[in-house]
Amino acid sequence: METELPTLLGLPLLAWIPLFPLLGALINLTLGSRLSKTSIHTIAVASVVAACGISGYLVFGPLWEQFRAGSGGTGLEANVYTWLQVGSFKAELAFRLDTLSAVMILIVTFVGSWIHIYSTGYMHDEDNKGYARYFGYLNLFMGAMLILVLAANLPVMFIGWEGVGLCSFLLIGFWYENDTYAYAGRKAFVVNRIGDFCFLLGMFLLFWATKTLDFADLKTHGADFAAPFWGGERLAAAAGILLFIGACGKSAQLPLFVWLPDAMAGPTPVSALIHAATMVTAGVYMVCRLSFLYAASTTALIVVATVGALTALLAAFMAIAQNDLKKVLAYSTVSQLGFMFVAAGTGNWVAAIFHLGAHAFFKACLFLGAGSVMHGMHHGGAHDTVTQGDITKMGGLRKLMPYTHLTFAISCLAIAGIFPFSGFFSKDEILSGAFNVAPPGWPPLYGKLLWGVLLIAAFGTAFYMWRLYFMVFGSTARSDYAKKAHESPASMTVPLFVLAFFATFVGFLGLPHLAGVHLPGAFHALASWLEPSVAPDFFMGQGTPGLPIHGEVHDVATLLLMGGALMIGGIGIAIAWMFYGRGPSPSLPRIANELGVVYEASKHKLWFDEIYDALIVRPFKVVARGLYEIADRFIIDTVAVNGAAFVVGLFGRLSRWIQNGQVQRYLVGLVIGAAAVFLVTDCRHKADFDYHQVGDMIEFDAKPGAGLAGNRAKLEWDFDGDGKPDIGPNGQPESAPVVKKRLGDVGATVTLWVEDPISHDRTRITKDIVLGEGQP
Amino acid sequence: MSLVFHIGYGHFLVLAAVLFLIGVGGVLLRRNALIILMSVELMLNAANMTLVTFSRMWGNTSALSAHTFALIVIGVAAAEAAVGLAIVVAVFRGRRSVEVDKLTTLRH
Amino acid sequence: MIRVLVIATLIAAFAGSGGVALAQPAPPRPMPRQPNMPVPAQVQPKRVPAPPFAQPGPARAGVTEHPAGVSDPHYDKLESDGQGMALVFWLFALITVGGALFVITRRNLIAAVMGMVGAFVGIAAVYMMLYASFLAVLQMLVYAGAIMVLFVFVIMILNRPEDEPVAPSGRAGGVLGGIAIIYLVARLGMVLVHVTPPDEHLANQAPAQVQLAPTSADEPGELVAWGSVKAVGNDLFGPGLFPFEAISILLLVAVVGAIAIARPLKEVDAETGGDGP
Repeated sequence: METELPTLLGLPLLAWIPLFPLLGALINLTLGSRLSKTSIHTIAVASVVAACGISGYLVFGPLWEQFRAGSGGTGLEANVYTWLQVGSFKAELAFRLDTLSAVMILIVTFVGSWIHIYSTGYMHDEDNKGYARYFGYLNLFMGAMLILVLAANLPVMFIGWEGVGLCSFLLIGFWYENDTYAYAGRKAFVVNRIGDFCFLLGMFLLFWATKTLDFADLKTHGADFAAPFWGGERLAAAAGILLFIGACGKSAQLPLFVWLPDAMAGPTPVSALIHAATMVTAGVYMVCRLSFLYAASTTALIVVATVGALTALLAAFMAIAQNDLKKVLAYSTVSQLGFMFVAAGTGNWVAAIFHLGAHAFFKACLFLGAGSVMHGMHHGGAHDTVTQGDITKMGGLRKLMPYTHLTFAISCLAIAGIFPFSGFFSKDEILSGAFNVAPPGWPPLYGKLLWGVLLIAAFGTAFYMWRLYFMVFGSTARSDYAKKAHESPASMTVPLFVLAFFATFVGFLGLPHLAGVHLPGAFHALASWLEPSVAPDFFMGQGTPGLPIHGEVHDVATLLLMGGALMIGGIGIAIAWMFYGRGPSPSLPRIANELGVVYEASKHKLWFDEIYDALIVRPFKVVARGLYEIADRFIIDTVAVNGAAFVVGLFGRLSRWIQNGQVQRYLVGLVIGAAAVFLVTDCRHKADFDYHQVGDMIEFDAKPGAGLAGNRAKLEWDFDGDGKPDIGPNGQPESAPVVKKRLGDVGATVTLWVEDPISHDRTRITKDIVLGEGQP
Repeated sequence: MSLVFHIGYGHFLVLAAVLFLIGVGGVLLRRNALIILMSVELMLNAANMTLVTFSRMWGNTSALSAHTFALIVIGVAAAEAAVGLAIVVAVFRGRRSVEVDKLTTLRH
Repeated sequence: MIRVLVIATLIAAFAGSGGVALAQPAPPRPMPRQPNMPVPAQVQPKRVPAPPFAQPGPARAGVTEHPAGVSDPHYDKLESDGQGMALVFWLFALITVGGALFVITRRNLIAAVMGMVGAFVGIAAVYMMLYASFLAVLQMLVYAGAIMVLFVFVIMILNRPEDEPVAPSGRAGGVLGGIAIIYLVARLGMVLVHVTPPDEHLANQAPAQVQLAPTSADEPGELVAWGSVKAVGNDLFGPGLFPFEAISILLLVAVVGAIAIARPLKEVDAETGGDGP
């Protein structure tokens, strides 16, 4: 069903969703330093709110109509213009709004709007220039993220993909005067680049195999994905794993997660928006967007699920011993992203998006709460960001910052998976999905293994989050700063409440699938909404839908699993309260001592940075040094640059002899040139002729020689072999350069006379005519 | 020997060519502006001789245009000699020399 | 020595002014004669002559190959003793080339000018051999007479007859240029010596007389020798009138320009200074 989209200023309304933030970025980045702070944040907030409004209108207006009509998977499409067209490759700057991207744009624009509003309070101390730069980057990020989400094909998605990467780099290194922060930005960029490289490879592979990159077109290529490829492995596996490595970079999964903890160097709202709520979930979104591709290969799925589970577990482990407020949240983000990838890897697309949305709200709320706390610490006298974020220096803030405390507590309950907060439902759906899953080709009970791993990770999550909560808000203040901290302004607390509200209630969009309970309306809301956009089935064989990934689910099992998850969360909170509820327990150093290596491993992030440094960074530096000496210093500097100069100098010395300004020396060149012209004409080849048989005719082709003399030469033929020039049928001598003669009319020898037009010298060429196999 | 005793039009043309190339040689190899001017005159005369030879070779009356043309060439040569000599005089007055390789003011 | 040569060549040149037909190996063929051939339309005496400038082409003038009453074109008398003519040609060719070589090799400028005069005399004689009598005379008058005198005057003004003949094109340039010139001489000579006229018959004859445009309706145009003053003049003031006028303007401009260039700068300053208020 084709719905006529409303347009604004000649562009489809859909294109304005990313365009509004991009325009805001353009204004703020070019003119921002001359505007007042009020104008800057008015422009920035207004552009994002406008995008949010358009998104809301399009989703609940036209798209809702389509969904009701049963074509929510087709969605609204807007082709802004054909970007490039090479052969069969056609890249269009096209946007598509289907039910999947609808969820994403609502989250991105809504959370983004509130974080923009929050930023006006948080960044208030920046000078005018930095303020404009900050909001310009933030708007640019919003534009890029919306392009990524709305993209109708992979190249456009890649534009957004790179755009958000760039903005992430710019915002992590926002305070670039600080070397550590600039280094953190660079690290994020480089690590992301590794992923992006594989993303590109996956894209190329898909295009090479299917000749299209449009999602809708790709979806119809199920048979291609299942076709044998590279020694039996399927295209879906190869392309899926390559694209997933890209997602690993963007979404901070196991080999490439190291940038995210360092990315906390950026301003806290940036961490909330980019490194918790939106950008890092782009990988999950991409996997869900290409669900038909991943569903076609259980190999790709198991890779996704395994990496996700390992990341969830290890990140939760690493978070336990961190003492920096934002670092804990960063590891928590990595861990939660792992949860989402497990959901995606078990074909539980709805759960992945569900947890993505819930996580966006409670993690944004947590980060903003952390920002609020650090803001309070800052006003309490802690001026360096390390002290502001050090949880060992906090404590007792629940009385000083009641609003922050309340929202933070709600979010902590949500992330720990306590009923009825959103995290409970979303995390439970992932867990039960993993428990029940049994795709063909997976090892037996692998789903149960994943479930177990996730359960441990969920326990860790509940523990470290509540450790954090008690350290910050519980007990009494452990430093002067914490004693003097005070609540943040309304521009910061209002967003906290809004996000906390959603963190509480968004879970009801995806109530568990119980066979016996049929609640009208809200029941299955998210699942049925997403159903047209994601692939519930996977392909086996020649494109025929095979077995569903999900195994059989019983209501009792579901309820038991829910209870188990809730219990694990409760235990985690209880243990956290035991050790940290009344300030850090005095027995902690002893326990840490006993744990020894394990505690050190958690504190030092499993030495990932050190291992990468030894394995990759140092060898790379050696290679780079070698390349510098060989390629740069020798080949480029000495051979290419100096060599080019030397050659030019050589010719310069040569031409200096000629170009000396003496007209007479130029004349020498003229005369030599004239002589050379004659020399060349002297060297012209001798007159000749060719012949070859054409049917029963022989074609003679005269070659009287080059140049004027050759062109104007007078030709005479003797075909009958009597030694005299023939007279043609028109009474004139045969003189055409190309003559056709019947076989019978040609004698044993043929003679051609060529008469020079100037000297009238006659050259005689005689050839014996031999017709046979090897004749020219 | 026929080339020696039977004079054809080719002989005149060759003579003109030799004259022309002697003129070229004079321009190339001498540095005195007056000699160069004279060499140019030689070349013009060689061209004239070619014109007249071809005119005679075609042998009909319309070939007389070549004579007219040769006259015009003589006129242009006279004009060229007048201006050229004037320049030589002017240059000599300023530099006490008529050697072309010393006229390097416009070289750089 | 030079003077003797010049005088001798002059005498020789004008002695042979009857013109030279070129000895050709081809046997003389009698002209196809058609005495009763009708007179071609364009030389009909009764025809009203068109204005000479407006109507070039057949009606203006010219000669048909065999108009009635025109004396026969004849084979050259000297044709039978072509060897004598060859001798004359070689003599003047030698004078021309020698004079030219004299020009470019002498250090003494006056000697160079004298070589130039010799070369011009030789060229004039060659013109004579080609039946271009008017051009031959003009060559002597304008070149050998006027232009060379101008050169001599300038040389005397400069009063610097000595010259360092080393070429500024450098030793390598000289050698390369010399080789190129010698090669060009050989190459051009090889081609040009074989040039044959398009119509051997016409070319071996003494050129036919030229009939000028008729001056009145009653009588046909005058018949004059090919290459004579009248014949060339007829062409010069007919189709060549515009170039002729153009060249006169060019000469005027050149003379004015020459004066402007050669005038001493000091006088210019003095004059402009005097003209000022």
